[in-house]
Amino acid sequence: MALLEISGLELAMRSYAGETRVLNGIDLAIDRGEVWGVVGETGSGKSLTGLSVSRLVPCPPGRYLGGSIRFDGFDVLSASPAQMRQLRGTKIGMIFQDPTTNLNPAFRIGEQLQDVALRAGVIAPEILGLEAGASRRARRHAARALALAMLDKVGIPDPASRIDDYPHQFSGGMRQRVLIAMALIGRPELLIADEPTTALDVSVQAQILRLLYGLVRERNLAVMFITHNLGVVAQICSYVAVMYGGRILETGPVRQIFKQPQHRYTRALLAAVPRRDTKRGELAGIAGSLMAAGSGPC
Amino acid sequence: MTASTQTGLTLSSRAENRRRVLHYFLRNRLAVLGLALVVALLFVALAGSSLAPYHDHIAGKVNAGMRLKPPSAAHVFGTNEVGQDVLTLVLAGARISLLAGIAVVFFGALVGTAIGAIAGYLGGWIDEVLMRFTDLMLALPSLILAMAVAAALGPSLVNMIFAIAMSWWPGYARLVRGEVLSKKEEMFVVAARAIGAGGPRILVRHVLPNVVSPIAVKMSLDIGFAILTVASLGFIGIGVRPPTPEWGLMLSIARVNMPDAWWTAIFPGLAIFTAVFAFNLLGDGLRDALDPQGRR
Amino acid sequence: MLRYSLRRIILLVPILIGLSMLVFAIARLLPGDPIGLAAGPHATAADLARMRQEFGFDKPLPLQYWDYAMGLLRGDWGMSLYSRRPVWQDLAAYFPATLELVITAMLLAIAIGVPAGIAAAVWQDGWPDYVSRVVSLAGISAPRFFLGLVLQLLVAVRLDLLPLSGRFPLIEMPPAKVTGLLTIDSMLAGDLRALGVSLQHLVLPAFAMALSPMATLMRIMRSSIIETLRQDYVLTERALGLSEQLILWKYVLKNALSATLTTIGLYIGWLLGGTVLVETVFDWPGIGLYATNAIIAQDFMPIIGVTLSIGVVFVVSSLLVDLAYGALNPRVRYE
Repeated sequence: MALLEISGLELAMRSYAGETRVLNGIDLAIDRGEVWGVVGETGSGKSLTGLSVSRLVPCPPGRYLGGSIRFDGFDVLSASPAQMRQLRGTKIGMIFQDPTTNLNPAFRIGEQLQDVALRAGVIAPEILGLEAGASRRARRHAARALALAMLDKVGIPDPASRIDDYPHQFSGGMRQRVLIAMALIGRPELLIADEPTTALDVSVQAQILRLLYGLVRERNLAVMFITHNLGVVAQICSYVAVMYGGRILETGPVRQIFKQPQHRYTRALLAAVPRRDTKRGELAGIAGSLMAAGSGPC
Repeated sequence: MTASTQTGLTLSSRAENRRRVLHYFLRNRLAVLGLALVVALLFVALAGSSLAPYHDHIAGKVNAGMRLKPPSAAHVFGTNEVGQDVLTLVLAGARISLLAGIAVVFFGALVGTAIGAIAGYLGGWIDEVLMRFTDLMLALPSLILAMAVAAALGPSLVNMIFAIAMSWWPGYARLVRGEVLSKKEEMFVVAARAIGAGGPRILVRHVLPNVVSPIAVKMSLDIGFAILTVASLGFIGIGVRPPTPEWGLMLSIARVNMPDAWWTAIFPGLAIFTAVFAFNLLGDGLRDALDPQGRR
Repeated sequence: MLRYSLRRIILLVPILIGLSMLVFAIARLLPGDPIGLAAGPHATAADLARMRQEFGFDKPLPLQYWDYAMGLLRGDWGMSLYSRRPVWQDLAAYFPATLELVITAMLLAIAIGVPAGIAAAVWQDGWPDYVSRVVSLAGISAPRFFLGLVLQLLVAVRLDLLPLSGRFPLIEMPPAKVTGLLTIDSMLAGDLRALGVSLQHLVLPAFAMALSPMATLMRIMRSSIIETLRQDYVLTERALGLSEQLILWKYVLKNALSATLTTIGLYIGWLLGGTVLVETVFDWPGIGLYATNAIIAQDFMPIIGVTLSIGVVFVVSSLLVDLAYGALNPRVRYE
């Protein structure tokens, strides 16, 4: 049984225009060590899929119509909030797109890291390297040491002097590293990354991807890498799921999908990526406008 | 991008925007109540004297024999210290209060917009000077200033409106300056300049129309407080003189007869409260409808 | 943080100068003849000329301002034509009363408004939220002079629970004057009876003043928290397992407090300007009444004195708010 199993997931969202189906039967299985790229355009439902795994979709306005999500056998959709909180940070880690808005501007990064570590330490004390009955002070010391270690691991230079800095004192790439540290400090088994490099400069993108790749290999993580960028998928992922209109159109190993795409849409997606030998005026688009959620796909 | 804001991409047109705003507004029961009350108040203000049971009391006719009678069938709100029907006076007062309140906001917005637009558009030292001036004006107690100006000009409704408007404009100046500054750099201004349109023309024909929305919202939110300020000045006794049936003035005259003839004070007071409350409900609902993010 | 604070404090000087100039200009530009009013209808031309010279009205305007500014620095705030006393003396007599009223009102407003706002945000869209929104809107809309009147009628007259008006009854012995605020002075003197009496008199007028800022604070707190809860970093904090309690009370509150703080600072200035309404109803001997009498008599120096002193308090409280804002929101310090 895979670490993460999503089957037949259906989600609807309510807006002023009424209720619309945003996920139309998602089937996905991710196991340890597998890096899955979930690709699709804006509005395809990929972010919502990622958020669903941690039950972070607010309901209302969301409503799950059917299907299931199982993490390590555990049924996520029928879990209580307390149970979900046990999973988040310790078993499931998440990184989001914009490093500028995802760090609390009023608090030092060290403190934010420590709080996550402390919380994780309550559930799994071995993270902090302490026994269950350790004192508050000991836990806090351990959390801080762990935060320093993580900052070093994600490549922040001179972590000891930077740990007490505020988020705005870091560059975009640095902030994303901090967020990666925060996501992994609790030693999760599954990492969900929602467009983690999209808001970064191209040069920084490569660094972050390399960092992620190294960490993933080292900890044998299961990864759901959500993106619209096929180039990124090619670099870091081992499997791909192509999404459109709330459905998964095609899945398979990266090599295979890229070489022999089965679905028309996947082919168009691949064709749209400009290559080195693409001449001027040769950019291929995909006909039609971005599909609004719920207006029915092919 | 968070799940709560992203359900799918929808491209909406102006008409769709209007429909959406209307939808949010109508869904908000408080806003609809506010709208209903405001419409009712406007109706009373405009129809005023014809609704009142004792028209001649408005002009100042007294009835000494009926002074300070409690509410009854003949006088639903009772009578005041000179025998006039309180209900009549309260209804007549609606016209004064609403008119004055709207006028205050209108003129305050006019002056403030002019100053703010000039400051924002011209920039440089003009902007500095005007904004420093505005900030200093904001630091001063507006009620006392309005009182001083109104008293110096002499007791009349027009003077009172002018005096209060003079303390109202800084808020609009700040708002408009901010909006103009942000719009100044936008594409359509650059484009207009490129085809040779001159400075003031750009300001008036292109920038200002886009600034109307936040000004309108602020105006609707301000009317309630403007009415409150008018009543406050009336209560202190600066601006209008008896026998003008201004609610604040009526309240201040009624104090003498407290606590026995409570109806002479309670009804005008409730009238002030109702008017201010109604406009605040409306303004609030309008603001929420235009910015639905604030609701959920 | 230090540099940020120093910069702000140094800026005070030109602001205060500008303030004094503006107030002086407005007062002098107002139409009317204060000398004529003060002298009375039977004054001769000679009397008027003499009064004009006595009060410095015969000098050119900039010189008058200079005299005034120098006087301010010396502690001489001019003479009141009406009371024939130095304005400074009048202000010292009346300002503490108003200050006590305003401070009490703000404390009341914060004590009730802030928790109510947090509660409304946490139980958003439930019926407490709905009710609180109506109540707060009503609170803002209620004219405070009317509210004062109603409180008098209900609490003081009908229920006879609290005194009707005034600040301190003549038959009682007030505490020794240290700050001018009766509550503080009573506590300093250890006089519990005086403290009780002064508090009793303070309740109704303070409440009448407090309702509006209380309601506003509640709404701002509520919308501030709701706004902050929608931020991306809250989602990240949730996603990484932090409890809702921790998120709200530590991470959200700090961010949400900034807007509330600004409002508190602004309200202190507004309340000071608006006390006259409540002072009239409760016969509270504060600067509101003093200013009103001066305005009716077109007595310039007191008007300037009151306006300027309120302006100064406003500017100083804005400064304090700025400093507190810098403490709460580190980004601001580096601008």
